[in-house]
Amino acid sequence: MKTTNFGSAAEAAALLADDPSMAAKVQQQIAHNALVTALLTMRIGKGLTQEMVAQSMGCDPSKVSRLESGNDRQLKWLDILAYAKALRVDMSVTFDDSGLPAAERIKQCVFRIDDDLKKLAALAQKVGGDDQITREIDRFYKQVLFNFLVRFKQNSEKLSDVIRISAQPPQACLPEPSGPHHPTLAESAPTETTRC
Amino acid sequence: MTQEQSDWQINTAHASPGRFKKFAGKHAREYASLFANLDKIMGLLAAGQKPGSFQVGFFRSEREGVYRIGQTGVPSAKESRLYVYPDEQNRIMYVLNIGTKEGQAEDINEAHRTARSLKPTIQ
Repeated sequence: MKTTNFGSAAEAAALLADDPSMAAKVQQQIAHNALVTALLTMRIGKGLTQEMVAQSMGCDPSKVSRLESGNDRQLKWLDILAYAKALRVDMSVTFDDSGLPAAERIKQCVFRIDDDLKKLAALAQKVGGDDQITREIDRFYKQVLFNFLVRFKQNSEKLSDVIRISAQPPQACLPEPSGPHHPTLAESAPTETTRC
Repeated sequence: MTQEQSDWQINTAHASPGRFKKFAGKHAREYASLFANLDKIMGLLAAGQKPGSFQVGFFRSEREGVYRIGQTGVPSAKESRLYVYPDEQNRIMYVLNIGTKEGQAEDINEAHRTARSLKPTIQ
């Protein structure tokens, strides 16, 4: 007996078409609509109608309808900006260069977090010391610090494990030294790191 | 903590596989688009929206609880419709019928008949 309940539209499409390759075609369409879907979902989530968005964008509702009925390739940059502005959503573009070293990418994340925390600090100063918002921000700062320390510790421990393993490699697996000596990671790492 | 509701499911038990297979063979791009749009609607329902409470160009009520989903983003497309019946209580989206604009009157009637047959079983 065939399954008739599905969690995904792509699977249902493939079964009804009696064509397993149809699932991939539907998935591809879904992927090509990712940005349009995100915009549409935000509009509906905010309880805005196409007319409201059109009014804010200064265009006809039919344009909003067309934009939402298109795919990502048909979107125009300025329309996305205007649509996001109508939803009162800030937009930022992140160029995430996967070729960059991990350290550089982490540094960029830290700078971004720093910017956001500064914004919160500025808000706290603006609303004054006794306000509930300030207390909430203070609580949030502590949460950020706590979450950061927990994750930092976990990752630091993982790193220490790697260093410890390198420091004591199983002797049986090591080939006989021949040629010039190259220091291992453990040898080149600072003593304090290898001790922890 | 509030109890999480179960996910919406898509049910194809009341759809004619022969009809869907024929349509997919004839209008493959439109077929894929219809189901991609069904996926968008499922996403909205999963996010807590109610059918009929939101306005989306390709999702229209055809009365009696039946909705039609249209194709979008397909150049020179054949106007196509996927008929569905959302059962909010059981969080099931029944896929009922598929067709083009030309045959929509009969397709809608058929979808209504199927939806009516489903209603007594939906508690």
